[in-house]
Amino acid sequence: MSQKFISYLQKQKFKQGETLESEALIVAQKVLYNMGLSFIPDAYGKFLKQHNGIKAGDCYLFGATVDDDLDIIDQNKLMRKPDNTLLLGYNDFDLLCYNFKQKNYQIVDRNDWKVLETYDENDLDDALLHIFNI
Amino acid sequence: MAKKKSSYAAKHQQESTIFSWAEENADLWQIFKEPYNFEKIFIQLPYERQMEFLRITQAIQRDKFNIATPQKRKTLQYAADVFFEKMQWMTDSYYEEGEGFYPLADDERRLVRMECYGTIDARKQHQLSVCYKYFTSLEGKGRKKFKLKDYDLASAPMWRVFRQFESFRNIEPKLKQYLWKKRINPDALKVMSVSDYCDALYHTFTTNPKSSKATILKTPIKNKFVMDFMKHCGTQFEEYLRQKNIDERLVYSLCLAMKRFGVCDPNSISVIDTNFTSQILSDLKKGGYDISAYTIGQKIPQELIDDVIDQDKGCLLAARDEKGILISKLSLPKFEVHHTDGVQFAHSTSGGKMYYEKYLAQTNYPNKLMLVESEMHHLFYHGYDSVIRTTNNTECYYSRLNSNNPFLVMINGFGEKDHMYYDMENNARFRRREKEDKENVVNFFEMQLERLDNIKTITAKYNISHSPTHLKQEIDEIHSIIGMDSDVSGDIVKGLNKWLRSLKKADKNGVSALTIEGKGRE
Repeated sequence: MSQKFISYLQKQKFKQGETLESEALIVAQKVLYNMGLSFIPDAYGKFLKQHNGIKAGDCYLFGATVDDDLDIIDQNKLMRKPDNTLLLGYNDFDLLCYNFKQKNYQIVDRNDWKVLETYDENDLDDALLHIFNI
Repeated sequence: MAKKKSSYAAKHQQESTIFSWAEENADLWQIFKEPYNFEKIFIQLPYERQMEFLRITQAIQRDKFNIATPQKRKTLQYAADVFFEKMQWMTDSYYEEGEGFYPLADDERRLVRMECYGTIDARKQHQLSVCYKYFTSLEGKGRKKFKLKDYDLASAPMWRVFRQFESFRNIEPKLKQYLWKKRINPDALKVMSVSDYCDALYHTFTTNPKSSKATILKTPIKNKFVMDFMKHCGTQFEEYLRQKNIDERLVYSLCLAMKRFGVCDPNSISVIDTNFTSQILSDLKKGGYDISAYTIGQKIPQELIDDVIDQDKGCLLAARDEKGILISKLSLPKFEVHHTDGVQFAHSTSGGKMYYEKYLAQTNYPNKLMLVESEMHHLFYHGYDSVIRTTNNTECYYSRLNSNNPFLVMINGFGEKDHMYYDMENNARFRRREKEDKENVVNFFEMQLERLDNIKTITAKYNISHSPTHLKQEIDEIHSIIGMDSDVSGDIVKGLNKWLRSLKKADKNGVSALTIEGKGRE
């Protein structure tokens, strides 16, 4: 779980979505699946139970929230992203994607989708820290 | 009893068809019905509705809307394209697409980011070079002491890539001091990679070695831009916000945070009162401040505000409404700093050739930055970004929305009144910076080659073992980008390849120089 990241967050000022309702998570999973994307990865789903979408500075992490800026469905519909990926968040320069074919988290350049860093499915913590760093 | 549907479920229960959307959004649908009156109708809409219209325009352009017939789809897509063109005209911007450009190297991009954010992330061991690990592993009292003047960073190939930026030139003395104190052999500078310098910078500036990042710049470029903007356009900006009927205290607090810290994210701002209230006085008293000289209604002195905020006690001045509830920051516009020229296109070294009219440090220049309202930033300015590149970077395609006017410093909507212009580069301080930057421009790939050439001599001098396969990959990569056009580069590549061949031959014969983890000597 993303303990390192969550403790990092405690020291930051940020805005977050409403508390996650289990129905909202199910709706998000269903809609994303119907869009040809994957289910929300397990670790990220657990993270959403603590922070359902976050905005801090220029960093965004999506959740199953009615806030349009942070809504994982809206953002995956609207934002351009590489194939076979579920978009989980972004900062000014990079996207945080879950590659459901390779089953890993990727930090991808926002412009040319070049994969800059790859994190194993168990390393969500590092991927989240990366997107909040530079 | 039926269970109440979650609001999120309700939001996504309806299928997105243009028809259901049209019924619910009659105000926006009106524009599609009267496309020739676009400017007239669109500009009258509230900002949130304009953004919603932009969202729908993009969805139609990208064929993300379930439109009944191909004929209708074609008509709507044509209309959406026309509307997008008009939006560009309204915002002094233009959509550009093209091909055949050379994107920046990853390391160059990293530097642009570091200067922009002012922080550096800790490097992992596998990201550091063999030579750097060799030189840093030689710890201990027995290590040879060098003179500070031996650390000639200005001629170290990869540091020269850093020192193209003024910010990095400014922190050079601290880095030098760190390397000297750690007694790192000055020969290391010749072979250190960008990652190695990042590691050295991280250790120079970190206050907590467990932290994943260190702050290297006191005022990062991004914050500096906001502070400069407030310096030059602050009064006009405050007036603009007031005209938007935003609560005086919100305007004051936002502008104060922008002026003092270069911060414009409402989440990081404490909304404070401008005049003393009984609540403020009582809070200040509880916070240990002497309030005897202050009275209710009196303007809070700037020195007191600065002191309270510096002590991180901004909550003592927190603004409240008539019911004593903290003032919400929701009505504050959310501004973000936008690079008007894509970082990707700051190629000083296209195809290995230098284009001196375009150089890396320019990307973070003040006339290439602007303040944009957050939603507009992501939806409009970055909504059309795309770069597709082939593996050898020869046939790249890109699209992007560019700003047409370098003097546009703030944009908060589509109306003329929502734009502010200023020439941020028209001052002696900037001209000096520009002159120095131009003197320090280098070709990234040539620096890489120089470093690789140095590895040849340094590994031999200290008997450092190195993997020839890894080096060969690096050389081939650079060679494919710069080609053999330059005689100097061609000679270096030929020399390096010859050296690698000899290393491989030695490897086959089991010569010790190629043992993977062999210890060198200093």
